[in-house]
Amino acid sequence: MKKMLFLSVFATLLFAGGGDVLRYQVLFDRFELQKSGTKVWDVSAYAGYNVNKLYLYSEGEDSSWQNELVFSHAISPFWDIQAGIEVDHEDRTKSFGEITLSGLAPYWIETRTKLLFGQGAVGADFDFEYDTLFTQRLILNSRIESRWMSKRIEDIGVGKGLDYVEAGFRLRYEIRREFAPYIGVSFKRNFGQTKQIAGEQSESSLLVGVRFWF
Amino acid sequence: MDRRKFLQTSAAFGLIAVLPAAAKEGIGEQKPTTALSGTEFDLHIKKTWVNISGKPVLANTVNDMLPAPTLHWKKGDVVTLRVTNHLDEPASLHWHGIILPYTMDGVPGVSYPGIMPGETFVYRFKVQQTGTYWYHSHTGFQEQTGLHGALVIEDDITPDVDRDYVVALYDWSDEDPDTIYRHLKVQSDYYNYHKRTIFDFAAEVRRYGLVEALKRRAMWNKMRMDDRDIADVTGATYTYCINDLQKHFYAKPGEKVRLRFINQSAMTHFDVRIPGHKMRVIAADGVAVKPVEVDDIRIAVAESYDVIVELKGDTLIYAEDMGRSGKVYAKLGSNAAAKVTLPEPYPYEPLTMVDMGMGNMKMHGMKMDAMKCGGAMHTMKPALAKPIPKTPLPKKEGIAWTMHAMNPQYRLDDPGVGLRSVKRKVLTYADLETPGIENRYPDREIVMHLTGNMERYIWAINGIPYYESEPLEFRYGERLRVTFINDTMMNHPMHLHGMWSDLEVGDKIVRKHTINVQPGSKVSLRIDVDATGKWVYHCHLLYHMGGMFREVKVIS
Repeated sequence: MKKMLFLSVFATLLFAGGGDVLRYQVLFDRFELQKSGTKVWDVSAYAGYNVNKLYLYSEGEDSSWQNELVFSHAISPFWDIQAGIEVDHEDRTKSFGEITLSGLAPYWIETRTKLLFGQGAVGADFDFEYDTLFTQRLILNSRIESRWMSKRIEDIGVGKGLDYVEAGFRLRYEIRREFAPYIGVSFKRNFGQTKQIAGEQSESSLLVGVRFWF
Repeated sequence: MDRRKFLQTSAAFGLIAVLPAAAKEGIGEQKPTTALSGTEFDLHIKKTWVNISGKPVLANTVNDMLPAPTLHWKKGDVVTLRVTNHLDEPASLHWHGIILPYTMDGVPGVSYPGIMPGETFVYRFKVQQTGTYWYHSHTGFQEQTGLHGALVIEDDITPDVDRDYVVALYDWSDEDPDTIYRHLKVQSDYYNYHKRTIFDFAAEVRRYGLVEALKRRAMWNKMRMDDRDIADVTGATYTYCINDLQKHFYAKPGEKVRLRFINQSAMTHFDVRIPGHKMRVIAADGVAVKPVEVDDIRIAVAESYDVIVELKGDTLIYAEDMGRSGKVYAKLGSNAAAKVTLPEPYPYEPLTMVDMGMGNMKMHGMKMDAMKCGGAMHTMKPALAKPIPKTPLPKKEGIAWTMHAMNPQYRLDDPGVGLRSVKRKVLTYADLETPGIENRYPDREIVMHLTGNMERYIWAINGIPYYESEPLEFRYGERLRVTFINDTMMNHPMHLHGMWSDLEVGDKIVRKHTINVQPGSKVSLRIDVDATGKWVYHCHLLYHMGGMFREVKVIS
């Protein structure tokens, strides 16, 4: 892991951008309390240049989480290819190598499609988001994410096959671009083996949170 | 990392206040902008307290004036300008549109190293032209912080005017320009509060039916192009200004008033009108044109227009930004206390398929909104007697080249987005002609695509940003034809230093220093390469300049 971290930082510096300016952003895309009492976060942070950036992603609820550190390289006007590691934690911690296609699909859909390798398994992770503007400041974010794994990995609560599908709708009000409280609802459903491991079948929850960046 | 870089980076990261407390001592307050004339000028670049938005902030100024003092020169004089930099960072002054030796042009890293803190640079050159021009810093984003002013070189176009005023239009922000640039880089629609909502779509469904409404959206959505992206930086942060916040221009009814409009903005194209009055345009970018009467003028960033108004009574000089996010006005007349009614702002217009470079024809059975008014747009295609050899330039497909205008047209008679539905005479390039210019046939042509990526906020020429580019090579003595194809959805005012740009309008010529290239369109111009040395050619939108910029080398 240390080796990956070192390599990512090194790669970003190596491909630094000439006259292009270094910049960063830390985005708390979801930072919320669900009605069940679950606390959820979804953070992405980057530093870098037009072409090359170093990204840190962290997504989780209460004591289970997925963290990623990836080197991101722009390959076309709207797409970045990302490579790095993902560390998942539920009962125990497991890490994977990942290759991800991240970008803006036609019809303004933000997506990340991830391939995971490790723990003797291959996995895939999909994430789609779309913003609908009611006014210039009142914006509905719709998102759906899902994971598939080739093998059961009980330590992180993942079954073989389709793992889960999660969908959410969050209505935010941008007081400033950087600060937007929201309310919403999220639905999650486990499938196949995951149902047996994780026990729960499906859940839905009202939620309240704030989206902010700096 | 040098100190400036460190300061910029630290400021961008919000780690330190931009100005150390100790440096704030001895900083003066803003003074009214006055005129300086003669042949010797002492100019001091310094920090000054200004209050433009309602709260005091620090600006960078020349002699505590914002805009900088108006400099009056005479053709034939040798002027000496001693410019001292009192800032703690390098600075510069560039004489926009002035024909001079390249070492006097004031572009750091190209003409000279710039003016270091505490140093004085002496500019000295012979004034070879007449008209209205301007000057500004060419260092980083300093121009946005207040370093811009007017140049007036006495001419004999209108010996009989009663009044003669400079009307400098500009955009001021209390935000640090590094912050504005970072916002654009992190979220390019940060300042856009005119975005599409579902109610816009609902209105289109009612108007065209669901299938047609979806079809109309399809192309934009597939290309991830935003028809509401008129300007990158808007009234959300800008306060639009006339001169030193001047509220009144004195003139009596019946008088002939010459107004020298100069757009000294960083990012804002202004639409200007004088309610109840015609404006007779007599010069463009300092150069006399065949007079033309108009109701409205769009002044692109860095352009200037001289107009004559025959005053009928108390009125206004009224300007609004192209994206309809703000306005600024000043009274014009004999009575500063006169009650004048503000005109209705012009409606907001989204971009059309024409701005995407899809040509002027019907596309996919859709009627172009732009076509419904003002009749058909003529393409003003220049007649070319014989082929002109083209010198290919390097190109790079990739992240800095999102869109290709499929059928770019010469749209010189297109008033442009925001003015197409205005049922008044709007000045277009097609209305202009500079008499008395010898229009030699071009020896050679180069084609430059203006390219960019709005999502990533990258700007470039031929897909190559400045910092990855090689200088353009012009040959001394040649007549060079330059064709710009705008492969973006933004206007780009292209400015060449040191040499005139003779814009082709059909078979006529308009001599200018800055030529606005409308979204998805093309323009051709001719340059007499009659200057030696190193120059620059760039888009004058301040936050595009990092990429849409080229060094020019004149080789003999």
